[in-house]
Amino acid sequence: MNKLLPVDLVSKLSGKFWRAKKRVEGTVSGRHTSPSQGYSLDFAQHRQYVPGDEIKHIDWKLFGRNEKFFVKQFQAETNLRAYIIIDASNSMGFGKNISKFEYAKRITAAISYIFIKQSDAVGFAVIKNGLREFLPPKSGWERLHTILEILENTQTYGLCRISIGIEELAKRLKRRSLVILLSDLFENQSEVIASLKYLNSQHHDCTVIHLLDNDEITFPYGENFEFIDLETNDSTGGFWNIRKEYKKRIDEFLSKYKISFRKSGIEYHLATTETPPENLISLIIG
Amino acid sequence: MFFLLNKLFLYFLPAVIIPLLIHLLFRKKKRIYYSNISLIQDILSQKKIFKKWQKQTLLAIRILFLLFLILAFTRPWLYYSKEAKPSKDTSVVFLFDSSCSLNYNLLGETEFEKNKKVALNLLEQLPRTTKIGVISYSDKIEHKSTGLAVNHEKIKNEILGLKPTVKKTDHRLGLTAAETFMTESVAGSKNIIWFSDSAISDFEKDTALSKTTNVTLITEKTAKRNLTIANIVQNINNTITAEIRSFGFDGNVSLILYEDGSEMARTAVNLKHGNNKAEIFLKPSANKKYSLEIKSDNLTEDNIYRFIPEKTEQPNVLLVDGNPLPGYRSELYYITAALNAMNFRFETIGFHQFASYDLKRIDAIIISNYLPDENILKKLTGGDKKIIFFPGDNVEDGKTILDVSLSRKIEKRTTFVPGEKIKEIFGEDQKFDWRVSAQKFFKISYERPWEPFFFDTEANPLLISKGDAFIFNTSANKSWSNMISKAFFAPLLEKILSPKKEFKDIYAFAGEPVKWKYAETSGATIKLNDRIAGIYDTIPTPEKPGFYEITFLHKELKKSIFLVVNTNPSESDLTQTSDLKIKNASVFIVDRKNWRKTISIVLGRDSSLAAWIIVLFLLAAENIFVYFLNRGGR
Repeated sequence: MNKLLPVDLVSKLSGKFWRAKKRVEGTVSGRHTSPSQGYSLDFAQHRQYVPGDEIKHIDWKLFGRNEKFFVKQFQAETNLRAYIIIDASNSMGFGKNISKFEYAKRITAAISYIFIKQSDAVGFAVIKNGLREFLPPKSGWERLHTILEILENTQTYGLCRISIGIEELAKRLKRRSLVILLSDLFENQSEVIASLKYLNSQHHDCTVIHLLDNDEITFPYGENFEFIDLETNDSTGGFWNIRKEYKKRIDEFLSKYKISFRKSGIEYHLATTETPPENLISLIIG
Repeated sequence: MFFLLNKLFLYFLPAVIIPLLIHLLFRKKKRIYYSNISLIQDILSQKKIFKKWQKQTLLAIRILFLLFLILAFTRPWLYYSKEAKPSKDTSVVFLFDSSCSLNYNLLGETEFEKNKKVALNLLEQLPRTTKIGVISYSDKIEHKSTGLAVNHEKIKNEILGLKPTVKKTDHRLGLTAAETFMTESVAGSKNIIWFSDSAISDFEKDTALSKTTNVTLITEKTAKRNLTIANIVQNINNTITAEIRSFGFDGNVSLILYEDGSEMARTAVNLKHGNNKAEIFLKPSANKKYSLEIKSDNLTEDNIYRFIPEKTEQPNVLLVDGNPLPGYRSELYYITAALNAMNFRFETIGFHQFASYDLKRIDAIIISNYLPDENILKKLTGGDKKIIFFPGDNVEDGKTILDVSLSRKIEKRTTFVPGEKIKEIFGEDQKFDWRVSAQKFFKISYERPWEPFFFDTEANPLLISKGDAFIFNTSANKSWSNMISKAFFAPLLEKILSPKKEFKDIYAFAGEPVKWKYAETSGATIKLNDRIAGIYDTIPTPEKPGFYEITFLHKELKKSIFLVVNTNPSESDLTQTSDLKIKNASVFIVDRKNWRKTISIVLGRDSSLAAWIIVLFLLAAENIFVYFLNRGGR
């Protein structure tokens, strides 16, 4: 199909289904829970009867116990509006075998394919120095092709500024949506967490896929290395072996994201570029 | 303060730059473009000072480690001061080599006497509690104290009573005697202060001593002249040119011409290492003695070197080669080199050409490895020509012409043509085997044509003639002709061959005692003048050849003749010692003038332990440092 979406990956993705964890607002009936009560088989809640409600929805059993009129409400099912946001800053260009950005592209393509296949609408945006290449959600194979085309033509550049990008995104999202962020999150942690919390508070279903290269976790560098920042071009100068301290720091860094996102109800997945894309997706969608 | 006992280890000093080189060579860091360095920067900011100096600190530790390691091996030794009490009981044996070589002098005081003075000085410095013994030896024990004694006055008298000998040396005998003292001693510090001119190589192969003994060899190194005038040429334009040879001297000197003791001319000369020419614009007057002086503060021996021109004419020399083996590195090789060096006019002929050679224009004849026919020899020795024989070097016994010519009469072939080249006789490619070839090409009778005066132990003949000079190549060992390979041979040869030279001015070496003993038994008498310490075992060194005059009166000839006899390279070669080395002893060689160092070896303290402790400390520091540096990496 495409180098980002090879046939063997597509075959491995068959039967995968992404179900939104929160209620989402769609335009047509679909498989996802809608915030509006509708006509599915799933009971949602009771509500006090108000004039105008259909009598057939009155729960007569409850009336028998309480002598008050309540109507049954059911979850409406709608199609999902998913936004896949990919970090295209220079730091994503790092990778020993495959860069994080290349890996992120493959994951984006795979997730897009799943959504399109289950008739959901997929939106897309790139974050590099703010929000770029914004595509509003749309279903249909045409959308998948558009996304793949943009992915192929996108290169890493400059700084990321996730918080600014998320803020801009939040302004553009009119309905409850699923937002999937793929990034190495090498930014100011507090700002990143705050921006995603804000997005989550807007009733969007946020999923963070934290991508790192294995070397960024294990830090296999001894002495006599000089590190140059891909985004800022800053240099560390030479130094002795700091592997132990680094590992401690990176663990703290990752833990902070994990704990903060869990507390906020934001789904968080840490993955290295060595994880096969289909495994990662299976892990995310369960 | 301290001095270093094993200075040789200082040659390893450049090794201290190894860590520096490694540091400089591997300082180039591998650059990694990393996703985000903020974490790394955070870590580094917390140990910024440590980061800045960590490598330099480690480098300094490693350099210091190597420095102290070398220092520990050099054995720093604290100088002794009278205020400091010796740390342990000390016993000392003054061991005097009283052989002939120590009896040698040029300036009135023998080396032996100088050694005695040093010993007496050392005796003064030693604490009164020191147990001391005195031993003097040559080829036998000349004097030995009854035992180690603390009575220094008695020791002083013993030293004063020591006399030099004219005997050869047996170091092992002396050292073994000293060892018996050391074995009996219960002192914590045992020392033998050994006064000898023994070479280090001889020193090492003599004996084994009891444990924990210091042997301090007191010796004196002779400074070698760093300038010499190789030749003086009187030019037609009323000037003279001095050819000055410099051995490492680089700088200005004054060249002064003296005539009958008065300064006539002076010039400043800039000299470089190697050969230099300096011209003085004044020709010495005829029939007046003149000399040249080189004056500079940077001369090694003195600040003035004086050179007296000996001759103006060079003789014609005939060199007769008796060695039939072409290309063999025999005497001929050295004689030719010497004659060339002295600008002699000479011609080399084969032994077979000698009988028919016209000797009219020849002033001197040098014959190597060949003894001519008796009649020719008598004719020559009765004439006015100087003849120098190098009768044989016994390199290949039984193969030289000499061996044959001494025992058998050789007659020329009837077909022999004067001037015929040796290869034409024997064939160019044919390997010459004298035993076969001589009989094949020459008629040899078994009559002894000439009876030598005597043969030495190596079967070299001593020849006595009616006059003139002989040089006897009485090689001390079987393998080589020593004298002619030495530096003094060329000027000696020049001195002998100079046609205007009167023989009474010729000096000779006194040689190996065995041979002289033969001479004595043969009835010859030997008269020594004041300038020679003894005839036995007098060892001239290459730097100071020591031309001695020896008057040798033959009972029959009743005429003074002058012998220049080869000597051994070292008298120690005469003493057949085993290959034992001095074991269980620390051996130090100390200049005689440096008595303070000697006394410090005996009574001072070894500071190398302190250096070793520092080495261990630095080693530990390096390891701990590296551990802490690497701890971040695990």
